[in-house]
Amino acid sequence: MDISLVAEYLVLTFISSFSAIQIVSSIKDKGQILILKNGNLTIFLSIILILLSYGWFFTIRDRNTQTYMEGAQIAAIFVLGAFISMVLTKIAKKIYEHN
Amino acid sequence: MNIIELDHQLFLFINGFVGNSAFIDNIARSVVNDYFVPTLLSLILLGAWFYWDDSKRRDVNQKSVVVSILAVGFASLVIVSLMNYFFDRPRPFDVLETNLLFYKPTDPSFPSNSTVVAFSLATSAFLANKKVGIIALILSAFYGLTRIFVGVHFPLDVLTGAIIGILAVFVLSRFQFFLMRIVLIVRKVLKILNLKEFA
Repeated sequence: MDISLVAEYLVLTFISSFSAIQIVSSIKDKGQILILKNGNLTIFLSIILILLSYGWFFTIRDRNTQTYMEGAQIAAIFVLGAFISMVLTKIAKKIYEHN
Repeated sequence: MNIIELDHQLFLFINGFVGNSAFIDNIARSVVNDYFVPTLLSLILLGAWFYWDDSKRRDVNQKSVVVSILAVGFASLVIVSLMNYFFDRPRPFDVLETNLLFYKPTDPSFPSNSTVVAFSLATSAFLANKKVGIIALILSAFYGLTRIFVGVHFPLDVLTGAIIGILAVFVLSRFQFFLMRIVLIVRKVLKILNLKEFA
């Protein structure tokens, strides 16, 4: 398995998961996990982050090549990326509140 | 004309559009890979995990997320593997003159595993939220169509993959008690990890 490919996909899933969590937190007014208080700004910045992470992931190399990374492995990396985004959301929220 | 010949004709019709528009070819190339659509659908389901106002909606949405994971695993790893064993169908580029816009996969063509995954995720999203689910199903159908367009699947592979994905979700969603048990375990693990805000 190509480790750099795993790392790249992990970065994509981490950033996009973090952004997706912020969008939903803003819409559903979940203050416990919403980092910025301005809901519209949060949604705008989160969409930008998702677009940037997608843009980065699909331009740094050709993704239409055989990688031998199975669907189950891709799913596992996504779950790991989502988990890391939850942990860092919590840390970022604490830092933001502390300041 | 039998069903295989019809399938070939339909494939040649769809794949015949390659080269007519550089814009459409580039869109297909961007969407058809193993990451773009599955990741987008997974993000929708991640959002569904948090998208609730009351405990009833919370249970429904979180069970849908669990169903999606189980359905992808069961349909993709068990059903598709079994069908690949019994129906070793060659890829379109192996038997027909094809306009290929993708790499040449080496596994059997029937059924389309990518479509199974996409429709499992989209149908689960539909169980959580009808409006978002319809968008996800349209996205999955477009994904399946691009797999034909770029020359790696026949229409019958994609259609069968979609049916497997949808059926897997509907069958697994019948086991409500079992799904709720898994949701409760995940919530408990998140609380143990001091992430109760995400439970």
